[in-house]
Amino acid sequence: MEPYAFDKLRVLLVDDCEYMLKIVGALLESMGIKQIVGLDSPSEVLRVVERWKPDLVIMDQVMEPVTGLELIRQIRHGANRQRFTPIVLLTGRAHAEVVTSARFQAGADAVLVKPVSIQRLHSCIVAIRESDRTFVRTAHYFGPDRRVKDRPFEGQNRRQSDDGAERLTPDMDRKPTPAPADPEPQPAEPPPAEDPELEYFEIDV
Amino acid sequence: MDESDRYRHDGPLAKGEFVSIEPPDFMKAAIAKGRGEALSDIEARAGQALAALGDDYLAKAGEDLRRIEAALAQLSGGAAERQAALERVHRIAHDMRGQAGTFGYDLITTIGSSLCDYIEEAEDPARLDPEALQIHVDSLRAVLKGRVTGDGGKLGRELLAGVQALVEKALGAD
Repeated sequence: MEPYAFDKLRVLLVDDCEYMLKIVGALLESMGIKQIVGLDSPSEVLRVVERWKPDLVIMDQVMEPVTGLELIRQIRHGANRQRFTPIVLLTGRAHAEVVTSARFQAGADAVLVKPVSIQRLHSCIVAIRESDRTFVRTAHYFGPDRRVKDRPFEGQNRRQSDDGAERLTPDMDRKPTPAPADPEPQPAEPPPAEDPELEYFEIDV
Repeated sequence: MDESDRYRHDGPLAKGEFVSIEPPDFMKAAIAKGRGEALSDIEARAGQALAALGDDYLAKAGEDLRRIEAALAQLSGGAAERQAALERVHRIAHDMRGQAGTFGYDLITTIGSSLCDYIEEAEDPARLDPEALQIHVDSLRAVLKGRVTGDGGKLGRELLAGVQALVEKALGAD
């Protein structure tokens, strides 16, 4: 894998558990990321996103008084360019309901299941960096384009087991595919049932 | 449709209509490709950082366990108090399971998940069996006291079997 330099990346990290902020923050710092804002108050997120303009938001799902999913929706409904901010949702369990909502309704770029390892985090950020990230707006959705019907299923790249850090890396050589002239994004396959061994790491590239 | 319309989220799109948008670049400008450290170097530094955090982990987890016990002690109160206490237990267990795997305490993750699942499946606080709740606490304490990492081998299997048996019994009794 080619090296990447993350020193210019601005990351907003949101988790109302301070210890998780420490853990994930330490992993981000290990990658050489120097500009990290950690928030343990989800109610501050929109303000910080608007004013600090992070390049990436990483946030937990289970928070009070507002969940990560709801925050993603609010960011995507924003009025400025920050609505396009790449967002990674952290979740303690790979509940199909949460993964589906995050990807197909709220507009998350990726979902990472805890515990977060440096390999997964690195691969996830690199994959977003390398992804096409075309957005789509429909009557009920605004977020990364999930239409994949003209793309071959790449199971090895789209869902990975716990031990496959390097296999998480998407096919970097594949060219972005133009959006098909077909309405309403559709998932490529039904969301799988929960599997604690399954890492949901899905970037459409 | 002009450019401003393309970026408007709440425009009047009918079902079936869509707009593809090329978003502004966030990551490519901020992450330089072809320079930077090798992943192996990053992994090594992350390992050191987590090891430093891991020194505090057992104390943090012990404190979480005490908070769970304190919340469980309030289950004998009124309905609102019970509900609030259970939500605290669920929340703390949820956090514990999310943190433990990072430091190799996989059993904490498994037992914490079991506790969360049990509370979710029971739904009604009145249906929760105190014995089934307590065995989660006792098992978590055993893992922390013994600093049992990974799956815990025979001890881990025994702990999980005990937890599972009581949970199944409690849920089956409903």
